[in-house]
Amino acid sequence: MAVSKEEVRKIADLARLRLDEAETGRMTRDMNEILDYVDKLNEVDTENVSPLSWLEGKRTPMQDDRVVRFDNTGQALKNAPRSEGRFFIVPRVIE
Amino acid sequence: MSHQWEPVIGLEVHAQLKTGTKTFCRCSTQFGDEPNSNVCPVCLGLPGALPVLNREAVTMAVKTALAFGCKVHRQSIFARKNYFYPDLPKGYQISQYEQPFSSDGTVEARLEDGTSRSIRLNRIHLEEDAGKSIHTATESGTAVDLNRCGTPLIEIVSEPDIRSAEEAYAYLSRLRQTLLYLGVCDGNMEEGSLRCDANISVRKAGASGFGTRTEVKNMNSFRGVERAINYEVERQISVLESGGEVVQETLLWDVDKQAVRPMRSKEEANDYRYFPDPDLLPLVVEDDWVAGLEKSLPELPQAREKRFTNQYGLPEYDSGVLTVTRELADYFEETARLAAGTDPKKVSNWIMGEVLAVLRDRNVEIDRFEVTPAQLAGMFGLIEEGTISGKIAKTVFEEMAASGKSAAEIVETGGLVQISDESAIREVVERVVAGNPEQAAEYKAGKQKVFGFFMGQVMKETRGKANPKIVNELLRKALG
Repeated sequence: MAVSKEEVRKIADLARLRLDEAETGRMTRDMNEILDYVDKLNEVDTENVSPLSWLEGKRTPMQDDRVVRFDNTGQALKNAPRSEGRFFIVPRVIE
Repeated sequence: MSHQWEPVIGLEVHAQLKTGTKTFCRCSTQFGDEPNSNVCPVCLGLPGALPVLNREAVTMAVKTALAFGCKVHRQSIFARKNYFYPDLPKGYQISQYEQPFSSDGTVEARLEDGTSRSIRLNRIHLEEDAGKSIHTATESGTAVDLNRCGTPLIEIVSEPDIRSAEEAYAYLSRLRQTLLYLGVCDGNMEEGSLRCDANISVRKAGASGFGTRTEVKNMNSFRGVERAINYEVERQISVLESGGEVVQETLLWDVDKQAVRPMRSKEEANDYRYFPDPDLLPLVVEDDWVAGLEKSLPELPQAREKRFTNQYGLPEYDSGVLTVTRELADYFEETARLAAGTDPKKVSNWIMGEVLAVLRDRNVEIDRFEVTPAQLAGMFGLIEEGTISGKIAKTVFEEMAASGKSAAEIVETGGLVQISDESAIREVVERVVAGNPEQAAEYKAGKQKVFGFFMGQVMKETRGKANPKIVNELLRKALG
């Protein structure tokens, strides 16, 4: 198997996901199936073919450095589970 | 420090770019605004919002790379650096990883003894800043302000070429100076617009490999960087000398305790799982854009320093001091130009002495100084004409700095015009000589030092206004 249970636990931890034993097993199986499937691509001979990460000739567009105000910041604060005055409040990060 | 150990230091500097808007959205980057007022769906990390790159951020980043002689790559890629922290709402920072927009380059650091050290740069890349967490605002939680979130940063990564805290300080000074000359960063370490992390290890002198390194963060001043490096180097040496091993870890500099402490696990950096950001196409910087930016670069500190020495005949030391900031260098050049009849070295002496002393006293920058180059040049004009003496000029200057009036006005209303009238001076000289027969006899007996006493007495009588050259002449005659 390409992905071990241990690796799944580590990735889950990095992604702040809490998986129980059964979920870890299922996730390991799923991830391996996905990787096996994608692995088929390795059968194609790509010698002398440069990687195509984006469509040829495409480049990121850019904007001018001019301020455009977003006027609904109050709503953004309201959507948060907790806010106080103009601040978002999250559980204490350091003691 | 024991001489058998050699420190090996690399610095990572984050510089906030002085754009008006953020890296990937058009929110203002204004410092000190009401919390969470400069935010939008993009920098809040709301689903479906897409980043659009700020052209000015690229412009400033490329200029910086060119100033340090870096290669600017035509194509570069934005990557996601994944980690969780409340001030990073997307759960990733957009940065550059495998293909940064620039690499290589050098920073010429000047040490206090006047020698230079070339510190190689590994790369400069473009990324976005995180917001701010305030842990003391409320009892039960951490307050988050996302105004800074998304502000453009460049990260300047050096090679491990730095060998001492002093070199690190010199490197940072040159870096900051150049960023300020370019006008791309305000360089304020206390406010966090310039931040520095240090990778530090030590090895036996002469060894070619590297020791295990630690990373020290949270140093918020140049002196803090210097002290933290000295502290950490000493710590590593004592660990090694007592037979222990340096553990690779991230440490925080504690300003109050003047010591480093390990980062708590919750603050610790994780496995970032970088991957190309699928929301952003490659950044392409065409050659003609780069060429245009190269042409637009201002004269940089080292070049200007050299020119000051060549053009004005100043000692290297003076050129170094006067070019510390672009504004001070401009001030000098403008004054020297307007005071064409005055030796540039004299102008330099005045600026390095009197002017900088007043600025230090008042804690004000040269571009806010009341005495303009034209006014200072006016004062030099009065000295050259013989209207005021160098000594009186100091009084005039103080008055100019206090009132903002012109030198001519001060001299006129204050009756400070130098007395060059020989008969008036002769009268005082004769009176002083007659009133001090003992000293006069001593002088005649060959005690040259007494001459200074007479000079002082005459100047005192004339309240410093007598032309010293004439006083000197007449005194010699009278005492002769």
